[in-house]
Amino acid sequence: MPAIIPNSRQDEIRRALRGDGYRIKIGPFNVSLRSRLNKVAESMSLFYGDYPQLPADAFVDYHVRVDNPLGLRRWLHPQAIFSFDGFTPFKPLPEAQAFAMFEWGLNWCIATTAHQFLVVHSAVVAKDDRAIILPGDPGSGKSTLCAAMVSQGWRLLSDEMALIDPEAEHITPLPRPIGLKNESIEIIRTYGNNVTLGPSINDTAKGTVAHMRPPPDTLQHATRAAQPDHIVFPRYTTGAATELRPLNKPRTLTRVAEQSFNYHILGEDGFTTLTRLVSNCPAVELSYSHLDSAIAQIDALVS
Amino acid sequence: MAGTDLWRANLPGFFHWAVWDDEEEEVFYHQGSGETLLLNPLGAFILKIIGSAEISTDKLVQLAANHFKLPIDQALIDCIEMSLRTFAQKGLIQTHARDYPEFQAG
Repeated sequence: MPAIIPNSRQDEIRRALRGDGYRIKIGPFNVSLRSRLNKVAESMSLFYGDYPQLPADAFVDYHVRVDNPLGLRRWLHPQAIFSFDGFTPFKPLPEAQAFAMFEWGLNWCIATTAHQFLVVHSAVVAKDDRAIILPGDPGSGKSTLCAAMVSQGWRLLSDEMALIDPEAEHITPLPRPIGLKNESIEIIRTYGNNVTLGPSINDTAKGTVAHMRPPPDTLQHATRAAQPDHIVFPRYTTGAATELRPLNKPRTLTRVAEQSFNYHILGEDGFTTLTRLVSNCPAVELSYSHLDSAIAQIDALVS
Repeated sequence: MAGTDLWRANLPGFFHWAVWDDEEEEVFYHQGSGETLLLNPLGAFILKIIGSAEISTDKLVQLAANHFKLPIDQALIDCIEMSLRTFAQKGLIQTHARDYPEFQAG
């Protein structure tokens, strides 16, 4: 069921996007987005319409923009291009992918600059502030599992990045729309309650993508950190029985390091942070093909 | 490589270890190169010995045989030499011939 965003709110967001920027707080980051594209305005209204807005004088971490590139081509095959502080790290994509490009671009901004955290490519969900870290390669089913868990009442900290504080060792929430691909879109559309999906975008580099709106109460806890409780490496395999296999600590450390965006930049701090994380946090590999059964197994880990 | 050549660590102050009492494997991190390695007990033993002092391959083989209660045979020697080559390729250790004097700057 689509979320209802009042027209007046949509107009407000559209004006901000076309003006000095739609300035919101996303997790620990202050973001300002500018765009003249209607698709971006519609999606920002749906997914980020109720995020806290920043005061006019607030420091902004990421000034980003998604707009049509200049040139004749934009009249023939409209494209969108992402820029960060005027720098364009990616080639343009079809305009239909403009909102996805914002999501991917913001991921890139955070992964390449937020070195106050150890940033791990991972979904993170929590129950009673006990966080489950779900690292995973593309195709492992991490986002599908994350979306299903969130729709069953788990708190979303992030679908894409675990922000691990090297000193406090907790995980800072970065709640944003959950990116789903291909078959996962229909699986989640028909799964559970509380599921709001945006439009499907076809023919991206990842296939068809759609985003799931985090449940409304996610933002109420958007500043509350959670303690890592378990690391679960999901592996979706068609027809597989649900099975949890313990992983030893040395192998867990090297696997999480491989999934980190900035471990190599943090150096000794990154290694020390990962060593503590792995020492305090049991790890398992989860093979699954059935969401309910997988979630029941993870529930049992924290109960 | 000659069995009497000496092995030494590159930047041994940059050697970091993650070790757990209940785990056989260990993780090594070299701050200089950024390498993170999952090591079996023999690999960890070799790097720790070289990280603490220069040592020849022959002596390393003897120490490893004693430590792991293994006979000194070709399989052990091959295994240690392969580990040494791997660590050297990654820039973690280097060898120099015992007979050559150290280069003295100035």
